[in-house]
Amino acid sequence: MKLIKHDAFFSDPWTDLDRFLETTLPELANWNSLRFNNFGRSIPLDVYETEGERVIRLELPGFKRKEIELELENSVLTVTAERKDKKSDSKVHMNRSISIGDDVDTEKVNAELSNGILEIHMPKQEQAKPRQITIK
Amino acid sequence: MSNELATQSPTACEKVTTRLRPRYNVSEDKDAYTIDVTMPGVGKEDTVISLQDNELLIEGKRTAALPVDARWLHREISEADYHLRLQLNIDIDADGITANAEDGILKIHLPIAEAAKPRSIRIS
Repeated sequence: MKLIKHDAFFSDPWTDLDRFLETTLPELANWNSLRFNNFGRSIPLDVYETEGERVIRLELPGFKRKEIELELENSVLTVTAERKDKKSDSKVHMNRSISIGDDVDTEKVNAELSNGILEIHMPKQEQAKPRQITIK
Repeated sequence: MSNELATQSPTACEKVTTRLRPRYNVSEDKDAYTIDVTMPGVGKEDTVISLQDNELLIEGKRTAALPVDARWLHREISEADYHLRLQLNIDIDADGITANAEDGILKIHLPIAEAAKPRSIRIS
Protein backbone atom coordinates (compact mmCIF):
# COMPACT_ATOMS: atom_id res chain seq x y z
CA MET A 1 0.00 0.00 0.00
CA LYS A 2 1.25 3.46 -0.75
CA LEU A 3 1.63 6.01 1.98
CA ILE A 4 0.78 9.09 -0.04
CA LYS A 5 -2.61 9.33 -1.63
CA HIS A 6 -2.97 10.97 -4.96
CA ASP A 7 -3.21 14.58 -3.87
CA ALA A 8 -6.52 16.28 -4.34
CA PHE A 9 -6.30 19.01 -6.92
CA PHE A 10 -8.04 21.56 -4.75
CA SER A 11 -5.84 21.13 -1.72
CA ASP A 12 -2.65 21.79 -3.67
CA PRO A 13 -3.21 22.90 -7.25
CA TRP A 14 0.42 22.46 -8.27
CA THR A 15 0.61 18.79 -7.40
CA ASP A 16 -0.73 17.39 -10.63
CA LEU A 17 1.32 19.73 -12.73
CA ASP A 18 4.45 18.86 -10.76
CA ARG A 19 3.81 15.18 -11.14
CA PHE A 20 3.13 15.52 -14.83
CA LEU A 21 6.36 17.43 -15.36
CA GLU A 22 8.43 15.09 -13.26
CA THR A 23 7.26 12.01 -15.12
CA THR A 24 7.26 13.35 -18.65
CA LEU A 25 10.12 15.84 -18.68
CA PRO A 26 12.35 15.34 -15.65
CA GLU A 27 14.91 17.85 -16.85
CA LEU A 28 12.23 20.49 -17.34
CA ALA A 29 10.77 19.87 -13.90
CA ASN A 30 14.07 20.99 -12.46
CA TRP A 31 13.71 24.18 -14.43
CA ASN A 32 15.66 26.29 -11.99
CA SER A 33 18.88 24.92 -13.36
CA LEU A 34 17.61 24.85 -16.90
CA ARG A 35 16.80 28.51 -16.78
CA PHE A 36 20.36 29.41 -16.02
CA ASN A 37 21.83 27.35 -18.75
CA ASN A 38 23.18 24.59 -16.58
CA PHE A 39 21.82 21.40 -17.97
CA GLY A 40 21.93 18.28 -15.90
CA ARG A 41 23.16 18.29 -12.38
CA SER A 42 24.46 21.61 -11.28
CA ILE A 43 24.51 23.63 -8.12
CA PRO A 44 22.21 26.67 -7.90
CA LEU A 45 23.93 29.72 -6.52
CA ASP A 46 23.44 33.33 -5.44
CA VAL A 47 26.09 36.04 -5.44
CA TYR A 48 25.92 39.33 -3.61
CA GLU A 49 28.40 41.92 -2.52
CA THR A 50 28.75 44.47 0.20
CA GLU A 51 31.32 47.19 0.59
CA GLY A 52 33.88 44.87 2.12
CA GLU A 53 33.21 41.46 0.63
CA ARG A 54 31.62 39.35 -2.05
CA VAL A 55 29.54 36.37 -0.95
CA ILE A 56 28.55 33.24 -2.87
CA ARG A 57 25.74 31.04 -1.59
CA LEU A 58 25.33 27.54 -2.99
CA GLU A 59 22.52 25.07 -2.43
CA LEU A 60 24.00 21.69 -1.49
CA PRO A 61 21.36 19.75 0.42
CA GLY A 62 22.44 16.42 1.82
CA PHE A 63 26.15 17.03 1.56
CA LYS A 64 28.49 16.83 4.53
CA ARG A 65 31.44 19.13 4.97
CA LYS A 66 33.99 16.49 3.99
CA GLU A 67 32.11 15.70 0.79
CA ILE A 68 32.59 19.22 -0.57
CA GLU A 69 35.80 20.47 -2.10
CA LEU A 70 36.68 24.08 -2.87
CA GLU A 71 39.44 25.12 -5.20
CA LEU A 72 40.54 28.60 -6.11
CA GLU A 73 42.79 29.13 -9.09
CA ASN A 74 43.32 32.23 -11.24
CA SER A 75 40.24 33.96 -9.79
CA VAL A 76 38.05 30.97 -10.64
CA LEU A 77 36.39 29.18 -7.77
CA THR A 78 35.41 25.56 -8.33
CA VAL A 79 33.04 23.76 -6.00
CA THR A 80 32.93 19.98 -6.28
CA ALA A 81 30.54 17.87 -4.24
CA GLU A 82 30.36 14.12 -4.28
CA ARG A 83 28.48 11.65 -2.14
CA LYS A 84 27.27 8.11 -2.30
CA ASP A 85 23.62 7.58 -2.99
CA LYS A 86 22.24 5.45 -0.19
CA LYS A 87 19.73 3.53 -2.28
CA SER A 88 21.71 2.71 -5.37
CA ASP A 89 25.44 2.31 -5.07
CA SER A 90 26.05 5.09 -7.55
CA LYS A 91 27.66 8.40 -6.73
CA VAL A 92 26.03 11.80 -6.83
CA HIS A 93 28.49 14.21 -8.37
CA MET A 94 28.01 17.93 -8.86
CA ASN A 95 30.36 20.71 -9.67
CA ARG A 96 30.34 24.32 -10.63
CA SER A 97 32.91 26.98 -11.40
CA ILE A 98 32.49 30.70 -11.04
CA SER A 99 34.72 33.66 -11.77
CA ILE A 100 35.11 35.70 -8.60
CA GLY A 101 36.88 38.80 -9.88
CA ASP A 102 40.45 39.86 -9.26
CA ASP A 103 39.90 42.21 -6.35
CA VAL A 104 39.38 39.41 -3.84
CA ASP A 105 41.91 38.74 -1.13
CA THR A 106 42.35 35.03 -1.83
CA GLU A 107 44.17 34.42 1.44
CA LYS A 108 41.14 35.45 3.46
CA VAL A 109 38.45 33.47 1.66
CA ASN A 110 36.43 31.36 4.08
CA ALA A 111 33.43 29.07 3.78
CA GLU A 112 30.67 27.90 6.07
CA LEU A 113 28.13 25.12 5.63
CA SER A 114 24.79 25.26 7.39
CA ASN A 115 21.43 23.62 6.62
CA GLY A 116 22.58 22.56 3.17
CA ILE A 117 23.70 26.04 2.15
CA LEU A 118 27.39 26.68 1.57
CA GLU A 119 28.31 30.30 2.08
CA ILE A 120 31.66 31.49 0.79
CA HIS A 121 32.88 34.85 2.04
CA MET A 122 35.49 36.61 -0.03
CA PRO A 123 36.84 39.80 1.47
CA LYS A 124 37.87 42.40 -1.08
CA GLN A 125 41.43 43.56 -1.25
CA GLU A 126 42.17 46.89 0.24
CA GLN A 127 42.64 49.45 -2.49
CA ALA A 128 46.26 50.18 -3.17
CA LYS A 129 46.88 53.45 -1.45
CA PRO A 130 48.94 56.12 -3.22
CA ARG A 131 52.35 56.07 -1.69
CA GLN A 132 53.94 59.25 -0.49
CA ILE A 133 57.65 59.59 -1.24
CA THR A 134 59.65 61.96 0.87
CA ILE A 135 62.61 63.79 -0.64
CA LYS A 136 65.77 63.42 1.28
CA MET B 1 -16.70 44.48 1.01
CA SER B 2 -15.39 47.78 -0.31
CA ASN B 3 -14.65 48.80 3.24
CA GLU B 4 -12.45 45.77 3.68
CA LEU B 5 -10.39 46.63 0.64
CA ALA B 6 -9.89 50.18 1.74
CA THR B 7 -8.55 49.29 5.15
CA GLN B 8 -5.98 46.87 3.83
CA SER B 9 -2.53 48.30 4.27
CA PRO B 10 -0.43 48.73 1.13
CA THR B 11 2.43 46.68 2.56
CA ALA B 12 0.20 43.66 3.00
CA CYS B 13 -0.73 43.83 -0.65
CA GLU B 14 2.82 44.15 -1.85
CA LYS B 15 4.08 41.14 0.02
CA VAL B 16 4.50 38.29 -2.40
CA THR B 17 3.54 34.98 -0.91
CA THR B 18 5.09 32.48 -3.23
CA ARG B 19 5.62 28.95 -2.04
CA LEU B 20 7.97 26.35 -3.25
CA ARG B 21 7.02 22.70 -3.25
CA PRO B 22 10.05 20.85 -1.99
CA ARG B 23 11.18 17.56 -3.47
CA TYR B 24 10.59 14.55 -1.31
CA ASN B 25 11.24 10.84 -1.15
CA VAL B 26 9.28 8.20 0.69
CA SER B 27 10.89 5.01 1.89
CA GLU B 28 9.06 2.14 3.46
CA ASP B 29 9.93 -0.06 6.38
CA LYS B 30 8.08 -2.89 8.09
CA ASP B 31 6.43 -0.67 10.69
CA ALA B 32 7.25 2.87 9.64
CA TYR B 33 7.57 5.21 6.72
CA THR B 34 10.30 7.78 6.29
CA ILE B 35 9.85 10.92 4.25
CA ASP B 36 12.94 12.87 3.24
CA VAL B 37 12.11 16.44 2.31
CA THR B 38 14.81 18.52 0.63
CA MET B 39 14.69 22.03 2.05
CA PRO B 40 18.08 23.71 1.81
CA GLY B 41 18.36 26.89 3.85
CA VAL B 42 15.84 25.84 6.47
CA GLY B 43 16.90 24.84 9.95
CA LYS B 44 14.92 22.80 12.42
CA GLU B 45 13.75 25.90 14.28
CA ASP B 46 12.10 27.20 11.10
CA THR B 47 10.31 23.98 10.23
CA VAL B 48 6.74 23.19 11.22
CA ILE B 49 5.25 19.74 10.75
CA SER B 50 1.62 19.06 11.48
CA LEU B 51 -0.70 16.13 10.99
CA GLN B 52 -4.44 16.58 10.87
CA ASP B 53 -7.07 14.27 9.43
CA ASN B 54 -4.45 12.21 7.65
CA GLU B 55 -3.03 15.30 6.06
CA LEU B 56 0.61 15.95 6.67
CA LEU B 57 1.67 19.55 6.29
CA ILE B 58 5.32 20.54 6.16
CA GLU B 59 6.34 24.15 6.16
CA GLY B 60 9.83 25.56 6.07
CA LYS B 61 10.65 29.22 6.43
CA ARG B 62 13.77 30.74 4.99
CA THR B 63 15.39 33.19 7.31
CA ALA B 64 18.71 33.93 5.63
CA ALA B 65 18.97 37.69 5.81
CA LEU B 66 21.12 39.91 3.66
CA PRO B 67 23.35 42.65 5.06
CA VAL B 68 21.77 46.08 4.68
CA ASP B 69 24.29 47.35 2.15
CA ALA B 70 24.26 44.19 0.04
CA ARG B 71 23.79 44.30 -3.72
CA TRP B 72 22.77 41.27 -5.78
CA LEU B 73 25.13 40.26 -8.53
CA HIS B 74 23.49 37.00 -9.52
CA ARG B 75 20.43 35.08 -8.38
CA GLU B 76 19.28 31.52 -8.83
CA ILE B 77 18.06 30.40 -5.43
CA SER B 78 14.41 31.06 -4.76
CA GLU B 79 13.43 33.15 -1.78
CA ALA B 80 10.08 31.40 -1.38
CA ASP B 81 9.21 29.42 1.71
CA TYR B 82 8.69 25.69 1.38
CA HIS B 83 5.22 24.23 1.61
CA LEU B 84 4.29 20.60 1.19
CA ARG B 85 0.88 19.10 1.78
CA LEU B 86 0.55 15.34 1.62
CA GLN B 87 -2.58 13.25 1.92
CA LEU B 88 -1.73 10.10 3.80
CA ASN B 89 -3.34 6.84 2.88
CA ILE B 90 -2.34 4.91 5.96
CA ASP B 91 -3.12 5.57 9.62
CA ILE B 92 -0.10 6.93 11.39
CA ASP B 93 0.66 6.82 15.09
CA ALA B 94 0.64 10.59 15.54
CA ASP B 95 2.36 10.49 18.94
CA GLY B 96 5.21 8.46 17.55
CA ILE B 97 6.19 10.88 14.79
CA THR B 98 9.76 12.03 15.03
CA ALA B 99 11.75 14.28 12.74
CA ASN B 100 15.22 15.60 12.39
CA ALA B 101 16.77 18.17 10.10
CA GLU B 102 20.30 17.78 8.86
CA ASP B 103 22.20 19.43 6.01
CA GLY B 104 19.03 20.87 4.54
CA ILE B 105 17.17 17.57 4.51
CA LEU B 106 14.25 17.01 6.82
CA LYS B 107 13.69 13.38 7.74
CA ILE B 108 10.25 12.53 9.10
CA HIS B 109 9.69 9.17 10.70
CA LEU B 110 6.05 8.07 10.58
CA PRO B 111 5.24 4.91 12.53
CA ILE B 112 2.26 2.99 11.24
CA ALA B 113 -0.63 2.85 13.71
CA GLU B 114 -1.15 -0.56 15.32
CA ALA B 115 -4.66 -0.78 13.88
CA ALA B 116 -3.37 -0.29 10.35
CA LYS B 117 -0.76 -3.04 10.51
CA PRO B 118 -1.53 -6.34 8.87
CA ARG B 119 -2.65 -8.83 11.48
CA SER B 120 -2.15 -12.52 11.36
CA ILE B 121 -5.15 -14.47 12.52
CA ARG B 122 -4.66 -17.77 14.21
CA ILE B 123 -7.06 -20.52 13.28
CA SER B 124 -8.47 -22.17 16.30
